[in-house]
Amino acid sequence: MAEKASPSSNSISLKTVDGKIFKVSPAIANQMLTIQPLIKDSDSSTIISLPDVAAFHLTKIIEYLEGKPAAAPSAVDAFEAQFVKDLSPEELKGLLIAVGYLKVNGLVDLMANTVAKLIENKSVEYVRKFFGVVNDFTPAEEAKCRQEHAWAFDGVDED
Amino acid sequence: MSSILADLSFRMYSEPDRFKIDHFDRLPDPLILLVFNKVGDVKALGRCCVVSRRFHSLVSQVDNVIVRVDCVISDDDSNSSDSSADKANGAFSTLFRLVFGGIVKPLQALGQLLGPNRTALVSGSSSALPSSLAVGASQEDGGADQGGVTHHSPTQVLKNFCEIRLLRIELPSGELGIEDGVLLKWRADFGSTLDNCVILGASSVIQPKTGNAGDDDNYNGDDVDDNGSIPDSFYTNGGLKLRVVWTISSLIAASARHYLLQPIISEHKTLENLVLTDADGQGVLHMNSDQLEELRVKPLSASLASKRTLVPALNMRLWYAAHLELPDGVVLKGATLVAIRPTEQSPKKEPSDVSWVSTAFEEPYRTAARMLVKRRTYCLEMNSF
Repeated sequence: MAEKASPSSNSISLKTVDGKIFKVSPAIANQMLTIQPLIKDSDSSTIISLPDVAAFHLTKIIEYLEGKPAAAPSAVDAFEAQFVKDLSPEELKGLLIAVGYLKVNGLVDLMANTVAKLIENKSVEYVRKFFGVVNDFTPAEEAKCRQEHAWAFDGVDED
Repeated sequence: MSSILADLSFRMYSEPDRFKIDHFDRLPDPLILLVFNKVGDVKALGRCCVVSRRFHSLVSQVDNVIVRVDCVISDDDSNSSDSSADKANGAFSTLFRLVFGGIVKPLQALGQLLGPNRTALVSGSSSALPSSLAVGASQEDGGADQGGVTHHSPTQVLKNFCEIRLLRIELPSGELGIEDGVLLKWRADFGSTLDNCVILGASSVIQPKTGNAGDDDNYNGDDVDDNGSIPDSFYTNGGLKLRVVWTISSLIAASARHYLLQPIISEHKTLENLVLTDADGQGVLHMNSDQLEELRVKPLSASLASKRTLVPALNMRLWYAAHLELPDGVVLKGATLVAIRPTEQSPKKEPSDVSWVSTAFEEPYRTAARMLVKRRTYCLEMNSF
């Protein structure tokens, strides 16, 4: 998982699945719980590979960890709302997977909340498409399941 | 090197189907379950059940569920299908309505309709107490009476959830029909019966006026002599009577809500926290894990009068302020706080602990309660009803 690179400052090097290398401070890297144990044993020449994280996602994660206000909850709320505002559904899903893999402090809940809000009032078809789920019910099973959940099908937004 | 990277990213981002399936394989169950728990809404989760077998089984593991009731079936609405039972109680309930009519109607079933055609079941009165809970669209047997509309009780809707720990049920509105401008809020904790209840009321709420300082003079007279006692006029001008009506109405609403929860509680053994609230924020009924367990072990006693839990004999403490100005400038006129406990549970010596009273509500009402409990306390008693 770790390989040697040219020594630099005190920073930790993270390599994304698409080959980009990011240098982050230990304070930032420590908030990614999955890589925490690797940081202790690493020196400045270590590169930690992140097989499930693309550069776009790591950029956003670092943006979140560096930008999140330390103090007032209202400031945090405003920052988080801004953070997720312009993400497309596809980006949201990718980021959820990345932060779930890295176990990023605070961001797992934020992404899960944001995805929850996105799918909450959507149709079955939208949710399938969003998660990339193959419908493995037979037509008869699906009809029965829809019948059992008939109460769930009003108030659905347009996809 | 750079060309390899480019190829990689091309493969990652330019084949949408493959991208999705790749990522779905890596979207672990705990992460989907986390999203489902954030969704909470039972209707949205019901739709997720239809997505695939895997989603169906994950939804059944959700431990945080919110049931939003679209429609409440009141006593009046269910008369037609329940006439024999009603006749037995007819005399009593008529009397009951004469006394409390217009203020409160007994909540006979927690009727929650999350389905279409809800208008068929919405009675004219928003003040109806739920007499049954129905979610969504239908009961086979009652269908004919309701013009083919089918109701789903929360029990039915929650059938597939087997690991619920936190359940929040939200009625479309508070049961108590109160006049505009009147503030009335209650919070009650139940086990097998009422554990405690706190009621905050005010005959009117005056928002702070900006740049109109002269108005304050009107109130100074009241405040100067305000030593925390209730003025004599309170007893003669109907003020006290109104407070008693608020108190009884709130207790009826709370005990009717509690009655409706019984089947849900007995079916969901994993429940640790149950909240039954309403979209108006009028009343909140809480049950914690100990209280839920108490009800499972010791069934509730029903009131003879209607489908609600029997309210035990009560000790009440009342605080009153003719004029209560909150820190944000809002003024509560005729502010009243009532703290209620069953007589047999009340501490023998004069209870000095009022922390449970002052923390019963959210801000800004928490502050109002905290200010009121510092005033003189008046004690009342009430028989079981």
